[in-house]
Amino acid sequence: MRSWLDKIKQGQLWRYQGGVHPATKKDNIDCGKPETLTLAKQLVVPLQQHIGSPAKVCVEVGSTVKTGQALTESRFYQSPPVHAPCCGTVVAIEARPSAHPSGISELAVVIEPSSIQNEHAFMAPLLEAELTPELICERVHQAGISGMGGAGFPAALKISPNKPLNVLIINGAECEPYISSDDCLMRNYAEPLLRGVSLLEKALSPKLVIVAVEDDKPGAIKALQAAAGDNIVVRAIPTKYPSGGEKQLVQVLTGRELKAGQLPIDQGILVHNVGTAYAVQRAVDHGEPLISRIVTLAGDHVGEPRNYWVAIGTPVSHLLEQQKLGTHHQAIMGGSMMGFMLPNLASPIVKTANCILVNNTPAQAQEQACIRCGECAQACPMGLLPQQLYWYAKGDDLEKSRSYKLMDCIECGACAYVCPSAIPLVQYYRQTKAKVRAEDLLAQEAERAKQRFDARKLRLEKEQAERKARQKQAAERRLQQAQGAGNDPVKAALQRMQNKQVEIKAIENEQGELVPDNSAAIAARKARKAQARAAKDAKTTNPAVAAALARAKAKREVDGEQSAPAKSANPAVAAAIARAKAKRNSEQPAEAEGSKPATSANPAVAAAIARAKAKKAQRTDASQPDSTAAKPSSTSSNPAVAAAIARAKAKKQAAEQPSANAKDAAVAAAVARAKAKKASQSEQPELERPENDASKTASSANPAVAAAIARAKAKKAQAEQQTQGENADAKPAKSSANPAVAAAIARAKAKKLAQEQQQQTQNEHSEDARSVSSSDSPVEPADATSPPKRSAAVAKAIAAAKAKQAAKAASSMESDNDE
Amino acid sequence: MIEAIIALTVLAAIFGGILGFAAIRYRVEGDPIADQVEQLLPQTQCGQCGHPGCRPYAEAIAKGEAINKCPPGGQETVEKLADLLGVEVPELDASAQEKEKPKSVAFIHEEACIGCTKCIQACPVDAIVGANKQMHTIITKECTGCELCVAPCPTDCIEMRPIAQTSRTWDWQLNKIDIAVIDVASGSAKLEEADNA
Repeated sequence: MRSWLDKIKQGQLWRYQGGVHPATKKDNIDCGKPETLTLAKQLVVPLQQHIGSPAKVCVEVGSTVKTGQALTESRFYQSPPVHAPCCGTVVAIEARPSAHPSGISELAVVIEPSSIQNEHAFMAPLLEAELTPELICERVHQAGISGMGGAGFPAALKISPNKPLNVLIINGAECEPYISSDDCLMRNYAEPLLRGVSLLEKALSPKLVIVAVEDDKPGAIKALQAAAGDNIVVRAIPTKYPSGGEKQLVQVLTGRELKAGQLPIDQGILVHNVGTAYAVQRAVDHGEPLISRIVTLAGDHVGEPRNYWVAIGTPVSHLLEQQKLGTHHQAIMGGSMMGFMLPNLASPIVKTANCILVNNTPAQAQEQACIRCGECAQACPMGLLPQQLYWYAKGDDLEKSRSYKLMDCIECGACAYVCPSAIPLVQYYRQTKAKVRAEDLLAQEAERAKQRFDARKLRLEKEQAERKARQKQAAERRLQQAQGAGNDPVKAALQRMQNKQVEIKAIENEQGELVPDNSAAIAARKARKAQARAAKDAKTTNPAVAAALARAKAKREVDGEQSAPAKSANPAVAAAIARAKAKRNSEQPAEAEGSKPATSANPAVAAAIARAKAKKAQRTDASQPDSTAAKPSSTSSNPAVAAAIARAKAKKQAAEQPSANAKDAAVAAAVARAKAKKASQSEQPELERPENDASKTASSANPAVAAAIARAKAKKAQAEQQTQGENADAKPAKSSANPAVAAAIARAKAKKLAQEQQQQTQNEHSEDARSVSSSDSPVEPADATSPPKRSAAVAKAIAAAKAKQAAKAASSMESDNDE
Repeated sequence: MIEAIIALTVLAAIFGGILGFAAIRYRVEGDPIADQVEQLLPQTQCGQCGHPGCRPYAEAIAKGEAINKCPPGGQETVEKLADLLGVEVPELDASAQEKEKPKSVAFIHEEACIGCTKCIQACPVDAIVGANKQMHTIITKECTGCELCVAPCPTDCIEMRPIAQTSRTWDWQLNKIDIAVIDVASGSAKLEEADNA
């Protein structure tokens, strides 16, 4: 009995069930030496032209590339690289319409060819002597060779030797109508092709190598037989569709039927396309990567159907232009049985594109109901039951589809070809297959998510357990320590401190707990504060001003109790003041004995407080006309009230600072002038307003403004003098009887103010912080809240001066009263 | 008479022993129904059903809870569950129906991320990489689209992005391919007509 291999060697052929005989339509296609297609204006090289994952891009936009230069790289065989098909510049790396029925854009390297194509970056040819299977494998991978028959399986992955190989089949069957690119290759490049086959043989060392060609290509068979040596069998097989399918070809040549999901290598058989063999030869002997391929251009609209050498990445539209075909045509990539309509003619020619068909768009035959004739079942080369699959596809029954082995369908289209009801069966299968795949993907993802979720749960539990263990350990340690030492760890710590010779006085508070006695620290802080104050006073350049400040302070301290109720009349205001005070305290650590607001250092908080102040000041404004109208008479008799008014003024000024600061000097000056004018016309109740406003504008620290203010002051002082004269019913004689004195006082005041203004401008840096700390009485709390701006500091100083001035006036009136 | 009683007693003892042994030896751990239900759930661990994960919901279903509370699974999962449990197919919960949307994964706008790790703590499948005060990012492949990370983000820098269809996940709906024939002239003409009308 002859062995299996002997049978194959001797030319025995087997048959497979099913198959159809469509018109081949190859007779009029020119299979002479293929013309090399000119380069298109732009070549679009998709990163993924194979089954697997795309490799990593290794060029940048704008970089110059040479013919054959790798555009992507990967050391994994499932990611063969792609190469530049020409010299040129990379103009974009972006998503472009893919050569896929969906036309979904996919990442591609776009190359603009340069005018001169004389450089290439091919790899060094491998020498015959040093050829090893591993080296060939590596070279095939580097050359980016993936199956050229249609599926695009990475060739390097297929030839990496891992299982013993009996039969290597080189597939030249090319069974689909119209396609003749392999025929063309075999006829014109038989020798290099067979050299490629022998290289594959070297890499795989099979027991038998068969080149299979359908018997409708006598030219190809003749050419191959002439070039083939003894070790390569060229076998003509009967023409039948789809003999070119891997599984069918294996069955025809070896009689072995592949089980569902089985690969030929599982039976010791491997199938490569003739195009792949040729590409291997180019890669090994010339170092040329896979950058072009033969493409058949055929179809009803093509005047001269023929084959071209087309650079990978050439847009299909460019190929169509060769036959004067416009973009209004619809092109099919692949043959008429398994090809697909290209949604976009800008799609590029890829490594798997063997044919472009431009046919009349067939009048879509009306799909009719399945009549259960069973023709499809007879035509199916895979032995499936197409009509059953059709029902389940229509009913979306994935479970049944699976059990009827839908996934084994090779989508050859034989069933649809024979269907008398013109049902596009393959389309149904493809959709259902996509659904099944999606379901599988979801199941996989769910499984992974579950694993990760469980792992996370485990991790969290472990972490918690560890934490608990640590806590328990720590508790035990504490207990042990307490027991071992016989005393409390707190006491031990105190003991240690004492050992360090630090005197710590512990006192007992109300709860009977031991707390450190920090009265000494408090005393030290107080001393520091006093020192700071003294230093500040000493630094005040004008002793007269310092003295006046001191007096004003003294007054304020006297009036302290009386001013408090007035403030508390408005709880919100009181609260704002409290906040401001607290803030100031925090800025002065010496005084910070009470609760320290943590936000003291925050300018935002300060601003908020300032806003609150401004609001409060507005309210004060509203209430003032009445109060001031009523007050003047009482003011003259009650110095305390006068002082209170002064304080309110100071507060209001300070509160008004933020807005005043924003104004520029010119505006401030204008305002000052307007105020001065108004002041001259002012009525009695308004007597205090011009002063306030004028002093507010003074904060702009502009000499012109200062002058204007001085003028206004003088006027105001006059008015005040008058008012006082009128209001002080009991003592009209003193003030009004001596207008000369009043005028003198006014002048003096104006002068002093101008002087002060100057001084403040000079000292603004040094005064900035100190003016805050100096005003430590509750009378001028708003000062502290303003952000530390220069003009604000000046304004604060002025406010302090005002208060003092007012106090002085009050004191003079007091003395008047006394008299 | 006595022989019959003895014979039956002995038989009863033997079979009782066998049954007792089998009850212990071949005892089924856990609830097999819950396991089967869990197999059908999408394992997003999103908690939209009101249970802290898919396993707890599976257990609840095994105990008789409604099967229509899983928005990520959608109506398909409801149908499968109904098939498994042999009950009528209910509609997906109304509140869940609103939430039924294309499968998405989280995306962190990295420039807005402040590195607070709150999303990391929320992620049920550890699909977020990052550390304290370091920018975080999503491992897209592992993200289940449960949206649990979106709410805790203090800077709202996490958004859910639908997964784009690729040529490999394409569903072969040929008639769904958008073929846009844009003719500006005719388009404007149509508009004018509409205006006149």
